[in-house]
Amino acid sequence: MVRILLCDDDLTTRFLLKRLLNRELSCAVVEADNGVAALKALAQDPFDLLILDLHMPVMDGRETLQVIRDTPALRQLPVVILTAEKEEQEVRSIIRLGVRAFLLKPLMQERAQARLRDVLAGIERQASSDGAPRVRGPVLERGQALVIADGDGDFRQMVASVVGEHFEVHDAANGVEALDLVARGVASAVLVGRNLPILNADALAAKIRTLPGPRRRLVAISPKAEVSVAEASGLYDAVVTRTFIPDAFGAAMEALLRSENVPPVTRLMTLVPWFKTSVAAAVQQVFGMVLKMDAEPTAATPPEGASGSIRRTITMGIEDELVVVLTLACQEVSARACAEALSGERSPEDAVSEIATAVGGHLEQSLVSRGVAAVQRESAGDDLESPDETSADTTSSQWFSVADRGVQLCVSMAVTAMDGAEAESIEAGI
Amino acid sequence: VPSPGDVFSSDDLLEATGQEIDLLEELRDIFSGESRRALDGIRLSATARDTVAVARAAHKLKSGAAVVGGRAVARLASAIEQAALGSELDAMAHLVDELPGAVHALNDALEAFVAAHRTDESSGRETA
Repeated sequence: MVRILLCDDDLTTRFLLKRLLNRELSCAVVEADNGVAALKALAQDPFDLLILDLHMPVMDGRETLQVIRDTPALRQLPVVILTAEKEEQEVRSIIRLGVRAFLLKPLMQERAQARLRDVLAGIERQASSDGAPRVRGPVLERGQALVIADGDGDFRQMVASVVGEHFEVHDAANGVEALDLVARGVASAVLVGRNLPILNADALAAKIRTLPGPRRRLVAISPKAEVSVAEASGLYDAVVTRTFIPDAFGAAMEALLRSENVPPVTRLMTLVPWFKTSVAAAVQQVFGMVLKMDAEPTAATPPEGASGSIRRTITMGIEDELVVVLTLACQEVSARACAEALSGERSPEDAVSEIATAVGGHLEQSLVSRGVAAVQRESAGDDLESPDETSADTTSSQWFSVADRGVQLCVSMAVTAMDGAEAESIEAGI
Repeated sequence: VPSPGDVFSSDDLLEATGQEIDLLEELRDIFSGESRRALDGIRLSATARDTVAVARAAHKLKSGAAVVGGRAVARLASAIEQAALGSELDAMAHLVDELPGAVHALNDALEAFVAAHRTDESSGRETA
C-alpha cells in the first residue's frame, strides 16, 4: 500500500484529501499540519509521496521542500504541491525544487482524483524501474582488464559469464586480492561488491584511489538499499544495482561501455529509458502550475503550420556524453494565450521563453533527482526564428494541446553525441 | 450584500465532495470548528495589530471556506489577508468587523443544506 504524508494546515482540505486517498485510491495517509511536523514524520518513517501545501505556519511549503531537496535521504521523494491560484511567483520558485504535480485549491474531487491517480501510477512505474540496475556511463572501455571483486563466488561466476565477452576478466574473492591485482597493473578497472571480506568495499576503493598512476575505474555493485550510500561515498565512477538476473546485469554493464557507433538517441534511451516521459511530465506540470492550464499530449495531427513562428530551445547535457536539444514551438496565437495566462504584461515571445526556462529547470531537477547527471546549458538558439516547416519533423514530435484555451505546442527533440566528433544529430519523437 | 449563492454555493460544495452526501455532516462539523477558531484568531491578532498572524489565519479560513462553498467568506478572508500583508491596518480592521456575520451566515447556510439532505434521506427511506 502506498504511504502518503499529507501536509496542510487546513483541516477541511486534509479531511477531503485523506478520504479520497483512503477510499478511492487505497493509500495509507499520515497527516501533518505544518512543515516541521512533516519533516519530523519523514525522519521517522518512509513515505512514497508527500502532498504539501504552500502556505502554512511555522515552516511553509517552499521552505519544507527546500529542506527535503537538501537532505540526501529525502532528495528523491515525490512531492505534490497544493496551491491556490494567484501564487504564480511562488509556484515558479518551487518548480526548480522539483515537484511531481500540483493540486489546485479549492479541491475539486474529480479533478484531484484523476491527478493523484496519475501521480500514483508514475510512482509505481518508478518503483519498478528503480529495481533495475542503476547505471551512469560511460566509464569502461571494451577489452579493458577488469577485476570482479565480490564475496559471493556464485555472483562472480554469473558476472564473469555476462561480461566475459567485453572484458579481460580477473577474479577476486576479497578486497586484498583485488588490490593486489590492481597494484600490480594486471587490471585497470574493478567491479566492487559491497560484501567484500578482509578489505571491505569502500576501504578497497579508497586504497585504489591513492595508488599512483592513471585513474582506475571503480564500479560499485550494490544492493538496492545501499545504492545511495555507495553513491554518496564519492569513491566510485558508477554504481550498478546488484542483481542475479544476467540480462539485467548485462544491460547495466552495456550502459557503462563507451558507445561505439551507437546512435545518440539509442544511447539516450539506454541511459535514461524514461526520458521522453519526463519531458512530457515537465511540460504538463509547467503548464499546470505556472499557467493553470491542462496541457494534454495529443496524437492528433495539428493543421499545417501549427508548429508556428515562435520557437525556444532547451539544451541539456546528459552524463557528460550527450546533448539533448528540446525545441518548443507554437503559433503566435497560442503564445499570446500563454502570455495572457501569466500575470503581468509580457510579449508572446517572452511567454514561450518563460515556459521553456521552466520546463528546462523542471526536467533538469527531475533527472538529477533520479540519479542522472543532467546539466542545462545556455541555449544559443533562443532568437526568434522564422517559420521553417521543413526543419521540424512534426511526425516525430510530441504535440500538447490545451483544448479550452486553443493552445497548441510542439516539443521536438534532437540528440547529439557530446564529443562532437561525429556530430550526429538525430531527430526523435518524444 | 452577498447573494445567497455567494454566501453558500452548494455546487461548489458538491464539487469538492464529489457529490458524496454522507460526508457532509462531518465536513460541516469540521468547518464549523475551524472557522470559529480562525475567527477568534483573526480578531485577537487584529486587535494586537499582528498582521502576520492575521494574514496566516485569514489564508487558512479562505481555504476552508472555499472548500465548503463559502465564496463570500473566502473573498472576505482573502481581502483581509491582502490588507494584513500590506499592513493596511484601517482597511484590515474594517474587513475584520464584517467577518463574524459572514462566517455565521455561511455556517447557518451549510447547516440548513445538510439538514435538508438529512430530511431528504429520511423521507427517501420512509418512502422505500
